[in-house]
Amino acid sequence: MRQALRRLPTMAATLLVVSFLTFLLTGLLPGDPAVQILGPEGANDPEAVAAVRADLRLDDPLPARYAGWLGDALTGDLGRSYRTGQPVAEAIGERLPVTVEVGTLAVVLALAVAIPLGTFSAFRAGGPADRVITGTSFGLLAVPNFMMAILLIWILAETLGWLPATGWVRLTDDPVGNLRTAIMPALALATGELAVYTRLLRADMITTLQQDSITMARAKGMPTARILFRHALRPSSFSLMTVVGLQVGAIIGGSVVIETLFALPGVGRLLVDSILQRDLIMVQGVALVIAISFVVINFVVDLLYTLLDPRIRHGRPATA
Amino acid sequence: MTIDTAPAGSSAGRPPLLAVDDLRTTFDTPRGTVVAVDGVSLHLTEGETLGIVGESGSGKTVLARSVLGLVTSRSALTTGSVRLQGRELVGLGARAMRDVWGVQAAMVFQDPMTALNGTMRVGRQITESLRYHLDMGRSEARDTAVALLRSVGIPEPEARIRAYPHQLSGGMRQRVTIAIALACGPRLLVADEPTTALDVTIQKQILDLLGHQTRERAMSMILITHDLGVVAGRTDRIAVMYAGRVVERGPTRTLFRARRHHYTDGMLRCIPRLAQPGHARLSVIPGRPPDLVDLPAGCPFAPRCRAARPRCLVETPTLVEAGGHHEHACFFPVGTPEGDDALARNRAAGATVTGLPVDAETEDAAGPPRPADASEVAV
Amino acid sequence: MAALQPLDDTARPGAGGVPGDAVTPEPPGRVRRGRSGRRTRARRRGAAFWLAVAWLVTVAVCALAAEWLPVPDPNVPDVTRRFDPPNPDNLLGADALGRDQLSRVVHAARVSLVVSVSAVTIGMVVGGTLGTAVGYLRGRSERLVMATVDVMAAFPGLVLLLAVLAFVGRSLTVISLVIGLLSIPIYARVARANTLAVAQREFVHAAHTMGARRSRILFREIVPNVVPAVAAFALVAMGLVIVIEGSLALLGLSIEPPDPTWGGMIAASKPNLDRAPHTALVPSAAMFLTVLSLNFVGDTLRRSFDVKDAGL
Repeated sequence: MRQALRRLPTMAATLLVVSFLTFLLTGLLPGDPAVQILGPEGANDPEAVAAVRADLRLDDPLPARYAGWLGDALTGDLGRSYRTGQPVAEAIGERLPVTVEVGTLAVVLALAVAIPLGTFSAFRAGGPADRVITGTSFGLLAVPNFMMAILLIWILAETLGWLPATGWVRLTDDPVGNLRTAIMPALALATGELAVYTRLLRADMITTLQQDSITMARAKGMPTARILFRHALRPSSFSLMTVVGLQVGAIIGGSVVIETLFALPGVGRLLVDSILQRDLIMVQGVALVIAISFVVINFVVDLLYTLLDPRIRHGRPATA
Repeated sequence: MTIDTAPAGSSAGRPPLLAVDDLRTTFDTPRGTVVAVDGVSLHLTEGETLGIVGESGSGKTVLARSVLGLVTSRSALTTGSVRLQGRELVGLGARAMRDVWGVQAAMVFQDPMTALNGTMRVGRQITESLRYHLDMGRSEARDTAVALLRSVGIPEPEARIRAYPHQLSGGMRQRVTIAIALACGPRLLVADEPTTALDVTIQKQILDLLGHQTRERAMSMILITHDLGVVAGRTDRIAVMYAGRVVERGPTRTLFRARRHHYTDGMLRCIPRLAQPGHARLSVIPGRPPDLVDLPAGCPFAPRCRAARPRCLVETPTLVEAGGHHEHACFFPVGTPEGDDALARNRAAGATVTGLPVDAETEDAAGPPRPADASEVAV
Repeated sequence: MAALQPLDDTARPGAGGVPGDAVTPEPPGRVRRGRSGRRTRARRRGAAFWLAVAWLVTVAVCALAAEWLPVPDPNVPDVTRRFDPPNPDNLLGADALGRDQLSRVVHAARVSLVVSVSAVTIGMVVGGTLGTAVGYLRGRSERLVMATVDVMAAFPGLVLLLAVLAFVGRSLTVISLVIGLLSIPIYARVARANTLAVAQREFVHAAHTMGARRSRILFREIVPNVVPAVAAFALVAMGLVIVIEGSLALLGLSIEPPDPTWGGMIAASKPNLDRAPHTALVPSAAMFLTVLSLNFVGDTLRRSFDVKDAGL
């Protein structure tokens, strides 16, 4: 725990830089940012331009602008969309649960498949089952999530008619309907992750299964399933854990595409819609929230590490 | 290979607990087939302790694991026969082996740090066998685990069962693995270099603990080591292994007093003795154990043997009886007219048939072959 | 008798070389091998490797010579042929506007090739140079560069890409440039990890001992051994770039229609999946095979450059 908390300053520094880069996005705009933000129609109104300039503190020097913007962001004020008039934070707050639900479901599904598959593959390493699993997961790495999404829509929605092709039912409205709308996007997101996790776990598990502690567990007469899942899984899942954290970035990126394809009202689609409508303040806010989530999630993964490895928990470096 | 029919010493007449016959374990590697254990036969009666001695690469660890069916490689093949309490183990499936492992036979590993699971509490690693094999309830298993830890000399066992392996010292860890091995009351304990990874000061304690426990529980034990000093006072019989084969075996006292194989002789000369003058040069066995892929014909020890003669390169010696259940696989045994003659001829030629230099000076440095006493080299 | 059978050397953990590994590259290292060693290695590569290479060559030829290939114009609609399944005139069928699918897939290869090659070149040259330099020089420059790299990598790539495209506008050049710039940190990490590994090797120590100048060691000993590893990674990364371009196309953020891209074709097929699944399958197959081949070739090469796996 102490080990992880020691990384708190690093995380704070990263967050600061990340926020500064996001802030700088408006600096990438050619010409007057206010004119760009308002778009061709709005820019003709000098009063509106002046209002935007005041809003964005465009007349202040850069450091002051950043300080002001960061101060606002810290108090939860990410500005207001000049397209819809809705506060950015509010728009994100409405859509975040959808993205979090689908993303979490995807990670859970991927792990639920990858852990048994990777374990079994390592257990039977070199055998026919292992070859099939290894080959399939290598193939899945070459299937982009949008391709999987199209395939799922074609088979599960268009051909079999089991699930709705697009749309979203809120969890609070209808839990079953919610699952029916969430499962296909989650599956599409999970495919690539599943392949990455399976291959990683297999490799680490193969190393673990060669260790004396596993031979010892066999010499104790423990059943195979118990050896694999109670003895070998935990020491084999350290790098899996790290990669699950790092892959959150891929999940977030994937959500953008998947939410658009399945017409889900999530943060990813908000980002795409805002880009298409040149709603730049919204884009900036969404980018900030996503980047912060990513950094924080990885920090949390580091904390979870200590739950897996007692050696770290007790303040000693892991050697095995 | 000959099969022992009459067990040695006081245990004569009792049925063997373990009878290993012509056991052979090979590994397929890209370089060829490695014959790690080459036709080994052993027997062990109830309550007996057998020492298996050999340097690294002599196949003793693979032998230990082959006996218990624990060779964990897809490329490995074990043939021959291992009968434990009359039941054939070779060819037995994993499911059936589960009733043998831990219950009838248990193993103590070389390095307790790698043998214990670093992510599980010590208590759990003991209670899981108790609960699985003996159908104990949670609290009963816990109490038994505490009692086991106490019996292997771990202080405050109630607190220790909550510890993780890395929180214990090396000696404590090995005590824990012994407790795990003892948990379900096995009849046979295989200890594979149980003290190699430990501090010298701890080694004796662990060996004493093993001896005490086997006596108290009337278990049989196979004690594997590269150190003749370790087995000297603690075993009933000794088998010396070289290149996957048993090259000499017999009752411990006989073997120390009248060793016949030059390999055994060489190993005994490596042990520093109190009786030696100060600054005496320690003898070493020149060379390294042979590559176990494509072992050539002849005695595998010949390239390193001071007494190697032409015959040693063409004929492979097998175990022959030398009286008193003492067997050796050598054409020119130590301390016999044949052996002395071979040595004298090699010394005169300045080299053995394989080109190993032999001169009078190195011979004298270690002193002439003399009877060694087990007590003299005991740790 | 074997309940658990963890393996021997014949079944190697196939780690690495996948997009997920991009963030944590294992530090390989490469030993220089004699000519004969390299030749036997090449002969040992299986048929699958050469099939993958053949496919990649085919794609490259399509991209470079699409105009001169005997296929119809990819942008000419023909209402009489809408959703036609594969037939002698349209070997891979026709799309929603009756355009020839084979022709569109062939022409779309160009976009994939241009984006992936230029993005990978930018990333590899800039990131590779940076990573090799700081990995060899160490010290303050290394800490500064790697800290920057860590922060840049703290952004989810696609989101940053979208945000930048939203602010800067989009065209084939901008897309290639931005993807290339955003991938610099990953190459820097791979190159640095490899440099650190190579710098530890005997022949580098030997060169030091013989009094070779640092620049000579860098260019004669380090660079030749780092480049192949980075290049092998670049092949896998090309597949990733093709997928990213596809994602952009699905979001309507890639190059403007009507010029075909694989991603754009997949996106356009979505409303017609029930009527004409071949409009989705054809571009999907092209993209899948290309990415699979890049992964496979990259992974195979990476393994042969990896000292641990090279069986030395």
